[in-house]
Amino acid sequence: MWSVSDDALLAGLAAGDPDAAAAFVERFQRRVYGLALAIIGEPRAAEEVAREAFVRVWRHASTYDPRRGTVPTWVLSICRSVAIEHLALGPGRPLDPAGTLPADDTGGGPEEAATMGDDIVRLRDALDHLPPDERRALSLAEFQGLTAAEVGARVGVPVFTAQSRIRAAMLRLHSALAREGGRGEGGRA
Amino acid sequence: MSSAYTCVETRARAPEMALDVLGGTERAEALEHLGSCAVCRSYLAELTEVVDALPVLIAEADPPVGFERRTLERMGAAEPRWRRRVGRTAVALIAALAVGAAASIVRVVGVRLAESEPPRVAATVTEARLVDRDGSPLGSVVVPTGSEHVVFVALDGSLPRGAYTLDGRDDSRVWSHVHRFDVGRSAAHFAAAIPDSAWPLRVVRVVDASGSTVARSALHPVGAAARAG
Repeated sequence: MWSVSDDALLAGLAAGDPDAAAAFVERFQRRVYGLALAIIGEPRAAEEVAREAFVRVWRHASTYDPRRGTVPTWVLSICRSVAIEHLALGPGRPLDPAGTLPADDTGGGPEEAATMGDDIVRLRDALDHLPPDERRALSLAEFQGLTAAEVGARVGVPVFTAQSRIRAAMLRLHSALAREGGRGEGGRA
Repeated sequence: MSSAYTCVETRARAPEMALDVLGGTERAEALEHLGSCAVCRSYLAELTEVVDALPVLIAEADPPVGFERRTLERMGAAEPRWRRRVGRTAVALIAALAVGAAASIVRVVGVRLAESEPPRVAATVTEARLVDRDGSPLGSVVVPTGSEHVVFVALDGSLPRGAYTLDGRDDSRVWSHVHRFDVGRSAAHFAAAIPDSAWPLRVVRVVDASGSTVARSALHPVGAAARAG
């Protein structure tokens, strides 16, 4: 039974240890696949994206920098990048990703919630209070990699309006995390 | 003549930069400003943390049956030949070297040793201390003697954070690039293939991002059998 920390598991992965690799995939597969599925929207393609994300994590494990985020954050950011690449190269993006960003109490497994603590609660709360237009614009940029111009074309508003929505949403989330003295130790959020 | 943005202009575009959806000229102008403004860099880093945190909120989902096996197979198929063969040896060697290295590494190895047969390292190795210009130890270097040309490096955490390269050479004076690595807040360790141009490996050096040699090691065969566990 692997009871080591995420960082230690990643160190084992970087060293080429097959047991560490198996434990690492087992620990993160639900989060990685869940993110891929939320972005891609199609199970078969989501599996391919999730698998490629793990391969990249493995290949770059030795370059992980703990100053830039926790292991789960790093792993999921890689998955996000792979999914956006997949969308960019694929036949087309999902028509409406408005539901990609979670509402209520979805997401963030118990371990992650325990690690991130107040940060994840504040971030989730701030998301819940975003105006729908801002939330959609942010979701299109965050999870589909769309520029402001592309967001504007998608939702039928001028570029300037799309830009304003993206920026406003980001600033609200940033302010929410900056409240009460900034970020938690494990969150990096 | 370039006209880099001001702080106000850069901050206005920072959200899109953090999301990596700012393109062309705007991105170039902002990057130029960021190169000389630590305050704006810090602001961008905070927004990037927001971007990186959002995926954590996405709901987990059960992958299809067999996902884990297929993923591990893919990782194995993508694995370099030398790494497949020496993977377990690498862990054992690094554990043997890691005096003062990250406790996390030791914990990983500890679990392995508790669960399985103690791994054996190569029968004959070449090893040396990696030292800085003043002769202070920075870590260890090990090269197993065998058909696989691999070097194992364990750093004790003394190197400042940053990007480095490991170069190596044989008895000639010509250096060959061996591996690029980053040093974070904890000790680092890695295994890397030695290019044919540097074999048999006699000397290694660590070069920082500015091109300065910050550590060096001359390798001497020790011949004795080494065993971990």
